[in-house]
Amino acid sequence: MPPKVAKGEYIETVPAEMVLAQAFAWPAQATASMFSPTPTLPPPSSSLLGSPSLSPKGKPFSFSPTTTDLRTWEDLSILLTPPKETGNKISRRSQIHGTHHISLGGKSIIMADAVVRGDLFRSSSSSSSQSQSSSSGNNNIAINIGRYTFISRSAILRPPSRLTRGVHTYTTLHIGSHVFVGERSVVEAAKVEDNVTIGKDCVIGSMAILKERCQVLDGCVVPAGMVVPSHCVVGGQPARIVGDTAIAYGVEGLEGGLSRERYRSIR
Amino acid sequence: MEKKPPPSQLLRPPPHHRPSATQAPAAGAPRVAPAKLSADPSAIIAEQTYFCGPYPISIGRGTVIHPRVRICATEGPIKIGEGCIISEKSVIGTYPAPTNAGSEAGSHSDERAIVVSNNVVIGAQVMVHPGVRVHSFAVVDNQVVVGRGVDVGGHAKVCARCELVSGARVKEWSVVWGGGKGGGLKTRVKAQKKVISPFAAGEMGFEGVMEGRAIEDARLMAVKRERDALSRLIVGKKRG
Repeated sequence: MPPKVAKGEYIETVPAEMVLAQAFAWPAQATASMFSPTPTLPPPSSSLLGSPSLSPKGKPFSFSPTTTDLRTWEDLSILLTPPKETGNKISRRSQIHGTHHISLGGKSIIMADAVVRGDLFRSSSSSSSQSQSSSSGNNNIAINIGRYTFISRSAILRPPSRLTRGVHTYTTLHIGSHVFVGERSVVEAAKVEDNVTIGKDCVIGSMAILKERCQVLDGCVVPAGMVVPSHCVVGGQPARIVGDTAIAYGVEGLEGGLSRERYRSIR
Repeated sequence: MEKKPPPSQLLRPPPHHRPSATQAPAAGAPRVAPAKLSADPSAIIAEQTYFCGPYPISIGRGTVIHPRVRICATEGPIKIGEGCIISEKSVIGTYPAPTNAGSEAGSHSDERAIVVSNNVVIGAQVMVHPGVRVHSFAVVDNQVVVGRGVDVGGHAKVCARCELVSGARVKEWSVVWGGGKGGGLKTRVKAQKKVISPFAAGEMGFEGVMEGRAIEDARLMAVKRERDALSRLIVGKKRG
């Protein structure tokens, strides 16, 4: 399988004026309520949207169908995002499971062969019906990715899991903005904060936390549960702290701050 | 030495497994004969699992196989025991290359059998080559490469990104971990740097170290719970 990037490989979430938004039913459930509650104007075509959901604060809000995607997934919830969350570029050859439980912040890139396990979500005892899942909010989000985040080829994102009160539960994998995940890396962290760079062939163990602006060198194994402090460079198997990143790490245009460049270079 | 798996006492894969031709993740791979798969009905096999190869594949009771796993019985039969967990993108066997696909059938197939015993946990992106024997309760962590003819003992753990060269033997109750710089020389045998056994843990005198057996029992209970959770999630997404 040649790794060439075919033209038009990436699907970009675009404003919906360009496509037929009416074709998509609006899922009035957790996917809608997890985004930052930016109450938009009541959409002119709200009859097409089904029942507008309630925000967690009880304030009614609804999203206009201004964004959608050209990809024909069986469930299109990942595509139906508020206007801010547009511009995600998702490879047609990415291997995304459980799109209901994945939230992308916008302008994020998921390259080919990347596995995103959205199907390993937290199945609480009250997750029996759709209405309850709407009220339980973020609990059902398996993977939450911020803006300008880059998931390289063949990376694996899977939610961390642990045994709580005798029940094996998966928790949300939070990935912040401007994060880079290298090729073939396996990320099972609980949280990856903003401006983190993860090299290629890394393994981020279950429930690890990478604080902001830290860097994980290539081939590093971050053990389960490790907390990498901010502005640190870690490397080795198992990981240890080998240095510091610059104060300005992750600043736009400097080292670690090339996420916008990367986004532009992908088409 | 290993017995061949019994000739498909269970001919049908589990009902949620859909062996379709379109599920092959790699387009352009040579078409090989459809896999002879016999899986226990209680095994949880994701839809996107890819089976191939001329030799029989058997999967035991309660085993969970995540999506995008490739099980390629190209050089010998593959037997996966009960209660295993095999994570994403792992490759069991060798992926059929255009040159050797089907050409080496016959003589040495039993030596090249892959036997994964019961309750083995295999992480993501693991490569398991032909002739490997993984004994019960072993853990093979993410991105491990298990070379040909490797024998991983019972209750052993091979930590992430280690590489077991061909013919290596990992003793039971041992832990293979660490590794130097990421150069990844294939000739280097990662030694067993640390042995935690019910006896050794006591001798080393670690304070607060519980007996290894108790820890292992707790871990196995956790694995069992994980299997239960996965069986709900992976099956539940079908036609959900």
